[in-house]
Amino acid sequence: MLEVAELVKDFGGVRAINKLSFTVGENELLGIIGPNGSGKTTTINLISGLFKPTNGRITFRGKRIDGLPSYEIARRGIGRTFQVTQVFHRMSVLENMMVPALAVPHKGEEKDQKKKALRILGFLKIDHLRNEFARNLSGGQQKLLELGRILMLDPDVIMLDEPFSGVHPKLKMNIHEYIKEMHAEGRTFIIISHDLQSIFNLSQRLIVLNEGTKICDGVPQDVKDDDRVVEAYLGD
Amino acid sequence: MDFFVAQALNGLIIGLLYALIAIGLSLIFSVLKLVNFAHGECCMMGAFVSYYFSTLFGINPLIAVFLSMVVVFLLGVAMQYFFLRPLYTGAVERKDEYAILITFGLGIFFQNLAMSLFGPWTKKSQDFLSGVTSIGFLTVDNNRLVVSFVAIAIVLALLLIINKTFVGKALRAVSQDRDAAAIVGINSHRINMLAFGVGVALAGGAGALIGPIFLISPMMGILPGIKSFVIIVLGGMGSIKGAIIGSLLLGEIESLGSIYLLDPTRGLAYKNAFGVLLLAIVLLVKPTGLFGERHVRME
Amino acid sequence: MKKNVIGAGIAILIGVAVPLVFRSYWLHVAIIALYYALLASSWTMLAGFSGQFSFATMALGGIGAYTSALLVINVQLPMWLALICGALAATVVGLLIGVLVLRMRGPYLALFTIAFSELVRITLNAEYQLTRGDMGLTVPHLYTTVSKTPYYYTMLGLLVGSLLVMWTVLRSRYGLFFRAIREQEEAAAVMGVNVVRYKIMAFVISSFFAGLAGSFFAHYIGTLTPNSMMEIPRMGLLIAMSVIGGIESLAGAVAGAVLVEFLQEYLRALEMWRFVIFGLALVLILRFSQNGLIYPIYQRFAARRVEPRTVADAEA
Ligand SMILES: Nc1ncnc2c1ncn2[C@@H]1O[C@H](COP(=O)(O)OP(=O)(O)O)[C@@H](O)[C@H]1O
Ligand SMILES: [Mg+2]
Repeated sequence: MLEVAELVKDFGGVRAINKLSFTVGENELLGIIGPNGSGKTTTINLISGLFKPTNGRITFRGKRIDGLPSYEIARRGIGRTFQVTQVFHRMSVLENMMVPALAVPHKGEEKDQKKKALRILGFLKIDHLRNEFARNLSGGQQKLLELGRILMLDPDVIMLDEPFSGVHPKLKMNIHEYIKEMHAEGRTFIIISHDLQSIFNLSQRLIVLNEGTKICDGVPQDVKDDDRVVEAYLGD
Repeated sequence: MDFFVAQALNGLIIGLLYALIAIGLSLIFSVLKLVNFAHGECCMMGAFVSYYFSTLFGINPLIAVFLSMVVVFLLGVAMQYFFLRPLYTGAVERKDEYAILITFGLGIFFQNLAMSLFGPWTKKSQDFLSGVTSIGFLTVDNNRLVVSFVAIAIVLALLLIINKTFVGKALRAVSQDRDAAAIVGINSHRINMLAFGVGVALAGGAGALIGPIFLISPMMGILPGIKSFVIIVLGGMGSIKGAIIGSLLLGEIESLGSIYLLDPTRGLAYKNAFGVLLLAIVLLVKPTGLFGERHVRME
Repeated sequence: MKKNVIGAGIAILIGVAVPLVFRSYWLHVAIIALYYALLASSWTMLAGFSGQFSFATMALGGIGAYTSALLVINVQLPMWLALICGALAATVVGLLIGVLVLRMRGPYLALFTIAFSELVRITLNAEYQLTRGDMGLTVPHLYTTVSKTPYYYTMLGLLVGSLLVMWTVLRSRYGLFFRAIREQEEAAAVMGVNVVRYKIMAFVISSFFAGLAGSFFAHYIGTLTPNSMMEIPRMGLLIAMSVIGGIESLAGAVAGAVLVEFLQEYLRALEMWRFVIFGLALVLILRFSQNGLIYPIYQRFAARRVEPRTVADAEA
């Protein structure tokens, strides 16, 4: 349902993404791994419209989305989190949740949206914090809030940038569970992670990036055994 | 033709004064990563300090320039210690907002302070060297010659310090990577203080040099302040080379541009508008400046 | 919510009663205070709520003032129509600035708007044939009476109406988007917020009210000079008002403006030194209480307790 073709992104003279192509199927759970600076975050930034590609195409449900503004891509059903958690600090948890609910037209009554927000906060077990300023939340709570905020978009595709970094092991298990549940509801996932164990566990398919190019694409077991991957991580 | 050359020379001298102010602003930006909106007021303080040194205490006006630079340096150190240091200790939230408002607020404070202490009237500082010098068909006010030489000397001395000394190395290290500099044992708070002090002292020096050429007043800093912003945006934030080129460019544009204005009284007023208009255009077309790549962002 | 309404009601009642207590000179001070209150709240909406730190508010007020004044003087436009045109002129200019500064953030925006303000001031001074520059433009008064009471109630009405509009906008989804953009522009964008539209919207609304304040002021005060209207220190005073009140509160802006304006009249004996005091107060408040002086006091009463901890509290 999401197709990336021949994607190129240059920053000044530096090529961060080089002819990257891959597709993500309906309800797939795709993992993207790769060493630091290999272009994982940039890929997500390109898909979500924060960066304009230098070259290449991104298609979602058969329609080109590259070049569209971010808000339009979000409204079409692609949600994302940030590597460094980005909640709206001086707004309450509930207000954070209501931003996507009210920003996207034809979402329905504000009252229903509020109920939905509370239900999602309940699902993530942070509903008791609904009137708290987001900046007063702990790092882990903020990560959950960011996840919950995406759900308010009712996205078909959820892209998570390093959802497990800096997270307490117990919370990590919870996030695992949440992802699995949301996946079971039929959503498609693209997950970037450094945490190889988590990502091997979770994903159905893995893409490995190195210096902006795809060096491997397959089921986790195959990827694990691939020489190039081992080299990319341990090499030089 | 003669008039054209004379105006070009004037533009050069004014450009040199702009260079002092703009290099100071650029130095502060590159190390502290903030725009000092009180910069023009530091220039104004320098002008008044030197004025009073020479009129009240009878100090030679040229020596007074350097004394006023020392005073403005100390003022800058105090400003940085009391108001800007919290930006780097994590004591304030919303750093960008704070940096803008606090430096702007300090500028307003200095303006009002100068109004109260020195009165709203314009003053003329003592000459550095009276008389004129004739070079061919050109006649140049001696004050302007002295100002040019002193300005060039200060810029050269600064470049020497930045490029050749350990302090300069530390300044550059902090400007490139604050954390890495801290790891190799550079005290970044001290470097901040130094950069801010030196940066505003350069503006203060320029103000002191302006004194005998133009009149000084509490509001004299506003336009040089804005123009130095223009220049460092033009030259690329944080680039000293860019600041020098931008200054000379603006000096010439103003001087030569005003020749072509029809109505001389209006022309004089609009001369100051050139820079502002230029800033607007550069900000719109290439907000990272002609030579710079980086964007301003604290967080 | 309920407390807010009661508070606003009391404030309006006090406002209505002012002319019963204050006469001539102090009523004049009250009118100026309300004028600044409108400017300060329009700045607060733009800077405090939507995070666009513009220094062009006074200049936009000046554009409103001069537009309205010149239309009455040169085209004999009816006063009320000229007032509206003044506000609209500021709105159009605000729209243009809003579009131009879209890609600018933080210091760039501040730079641009300071430069813009000076450009307007220089131009108005230079075009003295039209504006009479520093000599002062004599502007027809809004009312024929010499009494200040009608002016006072007009300004009070304008202020209350404007605050109501701004308050409604800020309470609506638009206010939510303004704040989201202020907090984190990219995150707002990927949450479906049309960042461009709402940044411009904030600029436009704020400019309209600045222009409205300015055009009223022109026909009250009777004489305009570019310098007294929009010099940078004037903008500094306006920011001091807003910051003292609390940068994220319309009521705070109003309270700050009234407080500072009355203080500066009360302290007239100090001459220029009172502005030194305000300047010092501005930087000290920023330094030690970034959220202002008045709003945090209010917040203390409405403070919320932190809830018990859960699994998500555990830090890595
Ligand atoms: N906004 C940007 N400007 C310039 N270079 C960037 C920017 N974002 C990323 N890069 C560069 O692109 C490359 C890939 O970065 P990124 O996608 O963040 O890597 P990863 O997420 O895989 O660690 C890096 O070399 C990085 O320096
Ligand atoms: Mg990354």
